[in-house]
Amino acid sequence: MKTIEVKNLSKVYEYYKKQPGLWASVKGLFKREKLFTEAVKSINFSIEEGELVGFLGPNGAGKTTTLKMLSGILYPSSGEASVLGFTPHKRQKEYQKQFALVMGQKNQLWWDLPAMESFILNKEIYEVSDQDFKKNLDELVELLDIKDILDVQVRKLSLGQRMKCELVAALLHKPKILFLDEPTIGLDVVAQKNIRDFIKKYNQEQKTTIILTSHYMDDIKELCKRVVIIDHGTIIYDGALDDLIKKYAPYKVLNITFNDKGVTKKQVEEYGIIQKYNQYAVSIEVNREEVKKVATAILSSDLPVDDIMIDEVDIDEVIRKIFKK
Amino acid sequence: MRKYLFLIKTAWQRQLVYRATVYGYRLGNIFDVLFQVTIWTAVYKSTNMVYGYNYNEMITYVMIGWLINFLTSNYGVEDVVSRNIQHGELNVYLTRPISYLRSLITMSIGRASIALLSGVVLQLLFILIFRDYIILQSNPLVILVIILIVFIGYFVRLLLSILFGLIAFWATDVSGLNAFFQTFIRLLSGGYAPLSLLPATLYNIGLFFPFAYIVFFPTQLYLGKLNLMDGIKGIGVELLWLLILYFLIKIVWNKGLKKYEGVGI
Repeated sequence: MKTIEVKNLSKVYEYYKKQPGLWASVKGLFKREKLFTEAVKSINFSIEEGELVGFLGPNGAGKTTTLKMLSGILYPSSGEASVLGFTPHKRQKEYQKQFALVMGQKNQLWWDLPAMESFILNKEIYEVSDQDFKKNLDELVELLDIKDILDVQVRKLSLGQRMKCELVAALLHKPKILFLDEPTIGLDVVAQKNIRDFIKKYNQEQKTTIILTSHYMDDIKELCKRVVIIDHGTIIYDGALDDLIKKYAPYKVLNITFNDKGVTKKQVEEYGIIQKYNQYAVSIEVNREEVKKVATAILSSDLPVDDIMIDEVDIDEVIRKIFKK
Repeated sequence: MRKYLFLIKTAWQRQLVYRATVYGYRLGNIFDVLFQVTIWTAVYKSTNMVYGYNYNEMITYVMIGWLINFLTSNYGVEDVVSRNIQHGELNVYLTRPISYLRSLITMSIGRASIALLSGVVLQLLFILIFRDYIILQSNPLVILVIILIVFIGYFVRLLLSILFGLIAFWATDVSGLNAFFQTFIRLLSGGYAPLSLLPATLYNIGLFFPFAYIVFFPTQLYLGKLNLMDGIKGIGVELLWLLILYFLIKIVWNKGLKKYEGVGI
């Protein structure tokens, strides 16, 4: 059985049209025009136990909506989702005890109290035994290195420290599934890396199934072998991150540097599409199959080649291209 | 059950972080009572009776009424509910093995119990100061009925607040409505002045609703203007309303959840 199985899942949001202006607002009190948007359009995917899958997509693509349906916050408009054999929106206690949802933009800890109080409360809510609680807490505190901030009011913590505490609070009951909605948002580079390293390690050690959404390509590159790309509510790619590049970028880039007097644009144009050009450095897009041949041709020509490199296209570039379509 | 006890404990701790807020509320309470006493004292300068109340009865009404209004308050649970819904904080409850409505009730009991300690001490002080004007009720049966009514009244008011807060599922901003609700409840329950001041028809209609039983009814019992039988009937009406409100909340909550879109994440 798959850990997460989603079939033809859709979500339609209702909202009201609001014309600008005061008079329109007054009219709106009596008569409103109802509109619908399809946030998620009949998506299908399944996830195996222990997988770490990245959800990618621009704002409003439907990533968070999907996570909300998987965690039982939202009723799907149609289709079905099954997680660990449960139907999420029924919100059974047995299911809720086995997953956790962490939202980078939302605070789940008691703001006015030290994080430790929230941990203790969560222990009770999830009915974790004293033994397990102590063991899990010690592990997590050690792994995230937050021993000295446990007794500080949450409101006084930095964003990075708070995120670490959020993760501890979410993992105390050892969930089998973890939904992470932009866990690194707003963090500085070092804090981002800390969180990222933690997620990676935790996934490897605990075999927790994780779905991660993020706007930061670094998160995805570091953590996810598999990505699901969502745009306008539909899945446009589901597969290995490496294959994504092959599929959407059927070319590689030749970065060549020249010495002496350099080259003119005309001299290199015949080899492929010029991405960047100046006299001494040129980047050329060349089809994957031809890349070796072209490189050889350039080297054996009488151009003053100093160095030549064959590079994979940058993943950010690929994704940007996909979303532009 | 244990998890809800811990919730109360955590709510207490949170409450105690804000000592200044607790003191602030009590300071506000002092002026609230003093203001009412001043007004009625001025009114009674030119007359001995107002709608069947003499001066001492009125002062007693203000003191006891205020105490009961205080005991049955829940400090804006409707605000908490509507904020939870609008800011998407409800998500935290919906994804955990804990009931939102039960959490809400336990947390508000936690909060009320803290306010209770400080508020009751203050009010007893007032009663002591005005002891020459205050009528005493010594019948233990009447006092028992009053305690019961006030106890149930707390929950009637709490459920009313929750029900009102749930409007946020459908309306985008309810802060204005909430302010109205607070005043409305206090007025109709007799928290500002005896409902006897109202026109007879309104008064009679009022008895069908749960509000009058929260403050007015027990205070009347205390003053001996209603008898024990009335009091027991009052308990019955309150219990009936408790049930009605409970089922209304269930219905509205389930409908609202279907509509809920988990905004704010």
